[in-house]
Amino acid sequence: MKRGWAAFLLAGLLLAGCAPQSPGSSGPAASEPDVSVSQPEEPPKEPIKEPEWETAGGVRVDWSRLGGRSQPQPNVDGGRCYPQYMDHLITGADYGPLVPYLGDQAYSFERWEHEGEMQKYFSYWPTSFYGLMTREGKIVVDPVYQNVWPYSYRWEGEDHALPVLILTRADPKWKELGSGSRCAVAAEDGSWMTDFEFLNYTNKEDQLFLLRPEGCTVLDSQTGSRKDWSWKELDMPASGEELSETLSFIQWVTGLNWLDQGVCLGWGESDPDLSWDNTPARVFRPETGEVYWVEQRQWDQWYDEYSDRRWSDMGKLVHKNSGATLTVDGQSYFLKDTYETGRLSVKRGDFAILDEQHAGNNIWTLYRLSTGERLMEGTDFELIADRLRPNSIFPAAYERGAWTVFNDRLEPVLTLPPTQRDNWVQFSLQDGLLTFKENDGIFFGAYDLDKGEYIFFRNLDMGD
Amino acid sequence: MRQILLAMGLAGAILLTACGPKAPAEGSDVRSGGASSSPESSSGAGSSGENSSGEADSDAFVFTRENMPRLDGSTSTAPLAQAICAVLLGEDISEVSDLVSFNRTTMSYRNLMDGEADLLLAAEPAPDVLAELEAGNRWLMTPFATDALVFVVNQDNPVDSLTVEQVQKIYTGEITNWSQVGGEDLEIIPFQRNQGAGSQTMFEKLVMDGLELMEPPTTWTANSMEGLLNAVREYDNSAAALGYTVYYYANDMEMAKGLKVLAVDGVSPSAEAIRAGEYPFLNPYFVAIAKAAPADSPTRVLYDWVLGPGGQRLAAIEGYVPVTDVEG
Repeated sequence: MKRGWAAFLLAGLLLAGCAPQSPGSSGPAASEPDVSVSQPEEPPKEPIKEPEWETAGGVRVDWSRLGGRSQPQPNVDGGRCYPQYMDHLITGADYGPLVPYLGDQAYSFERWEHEGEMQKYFSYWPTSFYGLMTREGKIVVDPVYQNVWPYSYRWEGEDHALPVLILTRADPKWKELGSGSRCAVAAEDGSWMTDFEFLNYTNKEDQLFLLRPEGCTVLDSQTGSRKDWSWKELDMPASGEELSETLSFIQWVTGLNWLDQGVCLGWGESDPDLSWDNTPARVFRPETGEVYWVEQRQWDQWYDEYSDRRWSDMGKLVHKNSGATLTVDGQSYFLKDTYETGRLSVKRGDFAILDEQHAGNNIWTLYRLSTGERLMEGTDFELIADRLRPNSIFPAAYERGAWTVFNDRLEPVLTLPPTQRDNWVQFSLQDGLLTFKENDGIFFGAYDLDKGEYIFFRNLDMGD
Repeated sequence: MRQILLAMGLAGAILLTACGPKAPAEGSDVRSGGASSSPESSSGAGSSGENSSGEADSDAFVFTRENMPRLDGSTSTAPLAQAICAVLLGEDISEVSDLVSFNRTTMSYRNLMDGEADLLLAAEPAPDVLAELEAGNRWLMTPFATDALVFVVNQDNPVDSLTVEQVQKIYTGEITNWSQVGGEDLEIIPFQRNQGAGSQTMFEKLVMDGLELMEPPTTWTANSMEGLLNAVREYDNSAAALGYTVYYYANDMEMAKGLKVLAVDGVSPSAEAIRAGEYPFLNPYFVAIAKAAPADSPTRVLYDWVLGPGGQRLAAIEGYVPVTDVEG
């Protein structure tokens, strides 16, 4: 793997030197920003292993390629807080930050009778189940949650973390409204937790707005204090089919978002003579408890303004003079030796991933914005941002079956076990603890980047 | 003068012959005259095509990344597939992972039938998929190795062995506590597998053989697409857990996952016990291709190679139990 990355970086350097001039260019432009150029150190060259071909069964083979298979990463954890199986969080003040871990899987199925014969449907892919552990890998809750999400949101180009976890469970008793799942909110340190009572959620700064079957709630993410409203208080349908349709509409049509102007809670009575733009939309302002009506057109305008600030800037890439100027989040960067066309995929801190096109191929590239240099190109990249450490970004790259995580100096710090099916890995980083989950749930790990060791690892696949 | 020119011509021909490439160029099928690519040794007899001189025969078939058949199969055969790609392409095992993206047993057969895969290395699929395969009469499925269904518990479970009858009674619900089989006073959690898993097919066919299975441990899942569904829980290696998987996988992951593989009727699963037929729950791994694959196609060549001494030897080296008696 080390040799592979040496080749990568070397290829990047060579390509940087050989990249074709953009049409109409005539060499370095006078208007290029004056940026310092730093070249990464050329990694030591490893001798290329010559093949040792022979023939076996009429086919050319190289038996010398066998061996060298790495041992599986063993399961690791920090023990248990409670000796018995724990299917709920016992709130307390001493856990420290709680970290979700993937610890169990289940294959959903359905059986039904059709014309006297039992039919069955089985999901090919498993559903993951999560538990909670301490920062040291000590198990606090066994894997009973269908999802655990440490809350974060993006605002005006910056990532913000809230000190709460959103926990999701499924139960037949919740089948009536929604898909059969409910959410709860817990303090990230485990000091408080709500019931599993919420259908959906959004936030405005550190306040959460949550939908319940009976009404809505504003919850302070710092303290857990809350204020509840019933649907009746907000002049909304309180039950039955009408409530179900309204809640579906809020979640899946208008979307649940808390703007400066309030939260849109669906339409009033439908009028076939009214166009979408003129339809009155109900807006609830949680800060004051006020409910008022605006035309959908007005809400859509407010939402567009909010959306520009809430979601990631797609950036603008203008190619010129053998490079491209990237403008994103109000800043401009000159990227050197870009390919002919491309777009920004993601920008985090001083790194940007571009999706570029060259000779009919899509090429993923990683750039350092402060120097404008292309650092790598390859199959896939991620930029892993630490929720709690500003400007702590770890690039990760996927090549030939495995992900490697790099530090800011592009030194490899961790190579994950190989994925199956060229799979994507979900990364998360908090206060130096990197967690990752293979997309099919084959493995989950928590690696302390400061100490350079695993504090938790689970091999979840059971073979097939 | 004529003799000098003739001598120069002969010398030139000799020189050109000596300087020509020994090994075939990358990306070419160098089989000549459209001869069958099936080596004589595919039946296991003879040793034609064997050359250990450090050079490949000039008419050896050359696999490249461009002509390598699209592989699929069970997760337990993925390591073998990686080894096959490594030796055939002359790349390290760590570099061929992208060529082995296995979709598990049942899905891999669906991919073969849908034209999304060229060659499978897989356990037996679920009965309904097998029926579909057989009904079409378009597919070739040939055993290339023998697999075993093994039972696993947590490494701290004091029980080391179960009888076949005990396993059946656990999974029909007749035996419910580990103390009934020599273990601690703990309710057994007999995990099962999802219906698409090769090991579930083996379990129902070889172990239960028509006996009525108890309901497996389940939980609930919910999502916006499918709504609320019951779900079969995977083995969790808790103190009370009993589960099953395939021999190769358990052997590979035993230490990493803290598992203990149980003996059945006093026979511990091992390559020797499987080869000797002493372990009771055996089933083949198949190599499968389309019957229509041309004789000189890379797919057919690879199929034959897997069944021939080269592929059988490789399977043995990688810890599988090949169907022919070869040394690893």
